[in-house]
Amino acid sequence: MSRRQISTLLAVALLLAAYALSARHLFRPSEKNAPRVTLRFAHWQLEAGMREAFDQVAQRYMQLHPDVRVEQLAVPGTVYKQWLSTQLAGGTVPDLVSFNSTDPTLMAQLPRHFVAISRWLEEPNPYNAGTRLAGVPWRLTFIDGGRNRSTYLDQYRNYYAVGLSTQSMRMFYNRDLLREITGSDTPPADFQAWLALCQRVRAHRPGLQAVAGSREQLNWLLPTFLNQATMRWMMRSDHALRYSATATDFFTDYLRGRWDLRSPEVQKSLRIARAFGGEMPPGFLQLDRDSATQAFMRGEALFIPSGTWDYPTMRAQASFAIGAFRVPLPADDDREYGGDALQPVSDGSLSTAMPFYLAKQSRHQAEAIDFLRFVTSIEGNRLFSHASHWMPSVEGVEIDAELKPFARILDGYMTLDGYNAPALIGGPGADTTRLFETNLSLLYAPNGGVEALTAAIESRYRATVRSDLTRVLSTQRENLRRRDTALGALLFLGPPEQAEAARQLSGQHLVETQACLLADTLAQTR
Amino acid sequence: MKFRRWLSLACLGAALSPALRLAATEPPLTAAWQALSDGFYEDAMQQFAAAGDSREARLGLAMAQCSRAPTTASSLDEARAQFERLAPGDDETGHAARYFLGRLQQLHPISPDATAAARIYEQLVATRADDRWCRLALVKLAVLRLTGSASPESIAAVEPLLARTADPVTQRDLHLVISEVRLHRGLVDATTLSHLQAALDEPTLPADLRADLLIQTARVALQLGDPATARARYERFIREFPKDRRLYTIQQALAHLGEPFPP
Repeated sequence: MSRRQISTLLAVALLLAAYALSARHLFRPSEKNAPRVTLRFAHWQLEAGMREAFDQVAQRYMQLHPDVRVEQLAVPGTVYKQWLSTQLAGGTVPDLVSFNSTDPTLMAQLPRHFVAISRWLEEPNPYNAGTRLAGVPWRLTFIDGGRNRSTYLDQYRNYYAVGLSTQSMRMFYNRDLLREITGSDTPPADFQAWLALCQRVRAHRPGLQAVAGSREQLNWLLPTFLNQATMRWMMRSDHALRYSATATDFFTDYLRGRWDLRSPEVQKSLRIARAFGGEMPPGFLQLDRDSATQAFMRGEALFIPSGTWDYPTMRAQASFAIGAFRVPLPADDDREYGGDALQPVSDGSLSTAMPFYLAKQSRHQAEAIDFLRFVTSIEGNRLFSHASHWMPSVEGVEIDAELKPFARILDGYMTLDGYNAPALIGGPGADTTRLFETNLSLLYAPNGGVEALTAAIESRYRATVRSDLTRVLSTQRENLRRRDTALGALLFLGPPEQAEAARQLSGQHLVETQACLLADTLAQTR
Repeated sequence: MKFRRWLSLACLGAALSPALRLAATEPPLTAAWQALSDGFYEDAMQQFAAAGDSREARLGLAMAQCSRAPTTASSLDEARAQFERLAPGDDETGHAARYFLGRLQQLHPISPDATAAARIYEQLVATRADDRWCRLALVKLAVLRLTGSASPESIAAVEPLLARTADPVTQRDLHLVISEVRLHRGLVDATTLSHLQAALDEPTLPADLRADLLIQTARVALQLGDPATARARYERFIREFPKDRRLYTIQQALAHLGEPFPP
């Protein structure tokens, strides 16, 4: 071996030794710096900035707790449910999991896989020490008192989650374009003014659309808008005098002949629907949500109806300033569309969103709860809201100036049920929705309109509404059956469970009474 | 002497061993009832089956059988047979079995038999036991009598059921269902107001129902020309339910008390 070869070998050996030492140092951190616990949480919010927002909150938490490492798993929504099922089955589910609480399969299995967190919610959140929420039970620090359909499950008599955010539906607009067209970036004040503006938009530049729309966008905004525009009339179905008319109240009134598709209020609603959708591009019913969003981002439309969950993405990608407003309702003196709205109108119940659940499989439940406490403290929720551009869920966290147009408007009338409000387009169930959807193109066709749609569906409307209400009754009976023995079982447990049974049974008696009244209506109007 | 003492201990041990073994192997029924209350019917059935042959365990088994999926005619027949075997006993288990026989008639068949269910509830109420199952049967009986082809007279005929229980919570629930049906039939009168008020006065009324009742009593009182009661109820609603979605509506109703509302 030549001298040169020996020195080469020595150099390589030295290099390898140095590499081994570095690797040892890197991969075997000292006892002092090693995190004691690794917390993992999973969600499907892949909108722009969301992962970064979660990272910021996690970083801050890790600063406060150097012995804890927090990792997020952002899984695409398209595969989230399957992914979660696999993790649960395999025993590898993250400590904290967000999921869509309207999924009945997951909700039915909730106590099997997730921990009831009621006892922690009754204690103050320690991260609120020194704030005006100091000493307040954690549950009561949320804007909705911590209780909504996702977080509290009547069936299991427990809280299972806390929500990190709130959402609302708004009409987003290209602020620069609005200024270019009108000289101001102030949105219109009533429905006629909005329609007039839409006309100006179309005249402003060839090819420019007023509203970037798709079937989804119409479905998101229109039912609520029509309810708000006709709330004074729909309130007539509030027979129980609760200021809380339900879809069942409204459509049993139809079966009893108290209104029909030719009623002036219904015809007015359909005219509003035509005027509203008429501002979307021709053929919008065939378009999907992404096409609409892209058209808006390219500056081809002034408005786009959407949920505030889309705002971070739009904000990150748009080359223009974005504004948002609630589509103004027809004024009382609007002879074409007005007269049936109760103004000002409320956005409805204030409820938190993006619930996180604590997995039973978690080996670090105390730490996971502590992390949730931090994220929903004034400091943590402010940090999350500011970074994500989603609205906060915690009392006293100020809404960033740019998010203020999204804040739910509660100073207004709301006389319809929170969860089961009437929906004229949509009806009391899937059959009526399908009847409308398959004929909706008639409402927007150049040679179509309100009369064309009415004529096409009126002969089938009664049978369809009846079919849906029959299914509603069947579902109510199924729910009663399912809960019946569970409530009976509570009576064999301790005093707290018996008190809970009494509470739920009062509600059950009322639901059963309403089911019997619906059965009566169906029998009497056969 | 020593041998005798050991012998006595051995005999005592032998005598107690079956009981001790039973106590060691039988899981307490609490876990089974808990599983059933959480809707885990299969788990509950296994736990009730393992808990031996007591009347309570057999009742639990039959209740779980009612709800276990898939519900078939034969599974319901099996549950019915189990309830029928337990029903003759004049204890709480017997009364629970009779109550669930009524529920089987009322809720489970494709065409429910309200008449048969009402008959079972009537018989149970007639025992005058006023235990929790008789109380439940009383409210279910009221619901069945109030609906169907109920006339104003038959609605009024339900009122005497209130005297069939001394339990304030059951009375409250009766007031609730009676007022619900009366309002649904458009009977906005002093009788309806008295039922609403009685339900509202029961101190353990759940908060969501209290919110509704405050609005209902206010609106009925107002229609009956009693704005003072309406004002008091609206003010209480505003005080107790500051996050309710109807807050603004009630604030405006209060502001327009002497005028048509909504304005």
